[in-house]
Amino acid sequence: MINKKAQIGETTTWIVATIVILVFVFLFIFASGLMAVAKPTLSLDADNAKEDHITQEMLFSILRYEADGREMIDYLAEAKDNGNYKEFESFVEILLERFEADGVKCNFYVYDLVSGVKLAGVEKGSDDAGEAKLEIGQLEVLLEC
Amino acid sequence: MFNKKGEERELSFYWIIIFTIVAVALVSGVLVFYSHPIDVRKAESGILANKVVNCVVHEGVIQEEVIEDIRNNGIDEACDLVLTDKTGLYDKEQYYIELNINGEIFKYGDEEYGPFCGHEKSKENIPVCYEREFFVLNSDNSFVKMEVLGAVAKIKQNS
Repeated sequence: MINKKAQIGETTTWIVATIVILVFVFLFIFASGLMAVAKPTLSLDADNAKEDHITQEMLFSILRYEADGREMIDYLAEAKDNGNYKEFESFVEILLERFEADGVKCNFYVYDLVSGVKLAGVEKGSDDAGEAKLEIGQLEVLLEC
Repeated sequence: MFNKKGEERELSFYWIIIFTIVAVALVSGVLVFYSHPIDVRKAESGILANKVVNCVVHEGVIQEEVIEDIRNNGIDEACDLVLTDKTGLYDKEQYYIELNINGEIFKYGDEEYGPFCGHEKSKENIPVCYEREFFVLNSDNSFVKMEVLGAVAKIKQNS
C-alpha cells in the first residue's frame, strides 16, 4: 500500500510535467508561426533601401547642370568659399520647382560634414522613393526624392 | 531493490516520450518559421529598374549611344540583361521592363504585366512592380524626364 502511494505521487508529478511541457511546446510552435508571418522582408526591398542608384544619378545631374556657363558644383564650391549659399540655393530651387511641376518632388540639402550643420536647403516635399548622398570635400550633399 | 528497478524503467519510458515531444516541437517550430515564403519580387523589380537606369545614364547624363543601341537591339541586348527563367515552372517571360525617355518608350518582356502595376496592395498573386519618375541631363544640358518600370511575375513561386 505504501509503495503504491509513492507510485501515484510519481505518476502525478510526471502527468503534470508532461502537460506543462506540452503547453510550452504548443506555445513555441505558435510563436514560431507568428514570428514567421511577422518576419521582415529582405532589406533589399527597393522601398526600404533608401539610398538608391536612380536618385544618385539625379543628384549627379543636378550638380552637373550648367547655369550661365558654369556647373552647379562650381557654384557650390564658390558658396563654400565665401560662406554664402543664397545664389546656389536659388539655382537649385528653380530646378526643383521644375521637377515638381512635372510630378517629381525632391528635397535638397547641403551639410557641413564636420559640424553637421545645415548650410543650405531647398524643400519641395519628398515622395520617399529614395535618397542619395555625396561627399564633396567638407560638404555633404543630400537629395531626397 | 525491486521497486527501485521498476521505478527507473517507468521513468525511462516517460523520458523517451518527453524527448520525442521536444524533438518534434523543435523541428516543427523551425519548419514553421523557415517554410514561410519570402517575397523578394519587389527587391528584384527594383534591382532590375536600377540596372536599366545604370545602363542608360552615366553620372547624371543620358548616354545617347546606349539609347541608339536600345533602338536597334532592344533593352536586353543593349544592357546585357539575361532574364531567362531557369526554374522550368513557367512557359513565358516573367519580366517586363518599360523605359520612357521624354515620351519615347522602350519595352522588353511580357507587356501583360504592365497594367497590374500599382495594384499590388489591393490584389494578391499578381506581378510586383517598381516604378520611378526622375530627371537626368541630356547631352545638350537640358533636363529630360525618365520613367522606368520593372515588373516581376513569378506567381507560382510566391502564391
